[in-house]
Amino acid sequence: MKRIRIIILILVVFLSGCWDRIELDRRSFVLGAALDMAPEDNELTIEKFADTKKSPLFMLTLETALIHKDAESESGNGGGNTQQKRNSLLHTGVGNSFFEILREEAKESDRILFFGHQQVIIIGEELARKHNILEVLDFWIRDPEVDRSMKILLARGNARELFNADPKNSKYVSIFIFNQSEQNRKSAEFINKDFTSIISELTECGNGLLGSIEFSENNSLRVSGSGVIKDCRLVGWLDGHETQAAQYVLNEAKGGEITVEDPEREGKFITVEISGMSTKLKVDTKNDIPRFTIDTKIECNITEIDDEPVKIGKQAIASVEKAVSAYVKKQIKNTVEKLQKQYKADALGFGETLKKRHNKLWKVLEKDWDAIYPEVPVSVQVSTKVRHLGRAY
Amino acid sequence: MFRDNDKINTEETTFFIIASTIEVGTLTVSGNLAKEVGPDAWLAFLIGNLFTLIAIFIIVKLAQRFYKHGFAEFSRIIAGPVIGWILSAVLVVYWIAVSARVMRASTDLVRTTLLDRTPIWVIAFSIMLIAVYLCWNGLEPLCRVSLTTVVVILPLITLITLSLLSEVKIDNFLPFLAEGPQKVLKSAIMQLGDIEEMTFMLFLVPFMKKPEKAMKAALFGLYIPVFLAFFSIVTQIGILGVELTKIYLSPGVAVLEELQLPGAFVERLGVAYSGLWIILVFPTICGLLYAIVLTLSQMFGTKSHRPFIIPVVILTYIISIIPGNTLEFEKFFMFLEPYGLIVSFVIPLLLYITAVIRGVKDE
Repeated sequence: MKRIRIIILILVVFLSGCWDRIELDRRSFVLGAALDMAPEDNELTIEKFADTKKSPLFMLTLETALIHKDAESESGNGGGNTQQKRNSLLHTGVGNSFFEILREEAKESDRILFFGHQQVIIIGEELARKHNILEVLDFWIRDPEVDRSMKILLARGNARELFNADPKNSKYVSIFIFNQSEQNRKSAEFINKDFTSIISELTECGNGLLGSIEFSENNSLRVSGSGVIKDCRLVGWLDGHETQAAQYVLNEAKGGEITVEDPEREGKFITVEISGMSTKLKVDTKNDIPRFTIDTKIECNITEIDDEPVKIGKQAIASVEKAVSAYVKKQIKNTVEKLQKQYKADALGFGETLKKRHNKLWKVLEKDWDAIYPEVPVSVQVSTKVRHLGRAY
Repeated sequence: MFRDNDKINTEETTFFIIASTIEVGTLTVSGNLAKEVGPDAWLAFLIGNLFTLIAIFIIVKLAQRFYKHGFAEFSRIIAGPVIGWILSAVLVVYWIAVSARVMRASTDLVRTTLLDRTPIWVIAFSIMLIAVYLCWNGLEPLCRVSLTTVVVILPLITLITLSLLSEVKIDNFLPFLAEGPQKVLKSAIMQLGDIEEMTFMLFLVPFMKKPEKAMKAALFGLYIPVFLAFFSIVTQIGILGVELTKIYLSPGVAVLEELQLPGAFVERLGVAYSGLWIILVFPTICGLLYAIVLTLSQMFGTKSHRPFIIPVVILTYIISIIPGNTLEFEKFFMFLEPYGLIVSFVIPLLLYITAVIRGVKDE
């Protein structure tokens, strides 16, 4: 009896298996996806939909990793070869849904696509303007494989083109973009949000800001600025400077630099780096008219002064603080005005604040909020405190 | 040996109830509450668990009054053989439906998070095999397994859940009571029908070494899972927001995927964490199965509970695969809430009142 039990125990180890097993060399790891509108004159489109005469909606481009090439380049020349070669493979397809395109690509590939390590989704400008972003992302919301810490970014122009970029120091465009987005401690000029927080924001109210990405010099890439989302659609862009101001209001700026002209000496500049900040968005609902006050407190360190280092005194610091406050105040005012007047998009969450803090008033205003929002009075208060001067006076 | 005297001590009872109560339902409860009361889900949950205290108090008092008999026996003593038998059947049907729901919910969870190509019967069979094996040997090994599982896994899960608290955005819990308190109260009262595994006290008391400690075991068995469930509701709604919590099939898993170890080279830890929850399904199914077969054997007056095990397991499996998709699944088990209200509140209350009036009790 005992012997039989032992045999059964041993058999369990050797006879067990797994339905979902796919060997590593049969998998193809998707690193990034670029979503676009299907171009009408594209040869892919013409070939596939020649008989139906109906043009497809979407174009999907996937960047997948060529793992064997990775291994070769690492072990190969002892690291002496600095010339980066493309290690990724691009698949492009068109269709009316993204899943359809994925299955279409399965016909041409000997490996099974795996989404568990995807780093980014890039949405092309035209697609983001014409389609509801939540609908576009539906496949990624439903799919159980998808890693929800990936980034979603908007491309200025065509998203597919971005995968042809040649970022320095990185083998894969997607990983480059992911790592660059993580640099938000160094600069507040771009937005770093992961999949879940973006989907959460879009399902809550449909308004917000998404990070944007564009080509820079030398065919490299730059994550900078943001796209303004209204009702889950892209309505316009903010540049890096304006995005920084928006991040102040959203209380999400984790760093970044501010360069102001020295108030006492013309033509000289002082640079401070933000070390901490907090913003309170206050609402005053007197007479049932909402008035918003943006109250920002900034803590910063002086990092560079265009002068001999010994010269800064107590008074000078006070005037620097004043100059920084004035600068940031103007920056925030311009951005809020642009969002209110030009884009008419409530991307800074004014409506949400009203809904959460003054629900009764919100229920009255909710229907006409689109008309009310551009005219809502907003005042800005900024106070700055310099904490450190670096390693010199 | 596996089994010596069929007596369990208070700690074992407590952990048996804890292990049975925590299951994949804790990962989805926030979704249902968010649909009912929006951002006030946490409040509805807390108030609801004050209401359940009443039900648990009645159940325990009733069981303690008949500390030598299980439910099928004392219901016959109180209400006569025919009605007693019917009441036991009602309870057994309830437990079968609950275990079918737990089985289906966990197989669905495994398929949508871990193994999407593995046939459903394979997942279900692995659960069922263990349930049969454990139940075969009675209550003692079952309690011991519950104890070891909970002691190992509960601290891990609690730690993971609490570490997510730093990501919670307080704004997601506003507006507070926007729809007025009626909705919250209504949802809280309906939770009386949701205490499923607490009804185990109806059959557990005769096995306890010290039946007078049953109330203590029940309270710990209730409040440790409530503590965990409360914090998972807070993290789920606080991180995902109310709207997304409504959308996701299991918000709990989606939240776990948010947890990133800084600088870790291992990605997708969330999948591993949801594995921990799956482990807690086993004691739940085993506990339910044992409750069913024991009550059945008392109903039919058989000496052993063993002959009922295999048929009940197969029946549970068949019921669990009847609903075609998730929506049908929700609709199919909708009846469990009012049914639960009857089983865990109305029936014990009526039985207790009758017993007091007739003056019957175990000496």
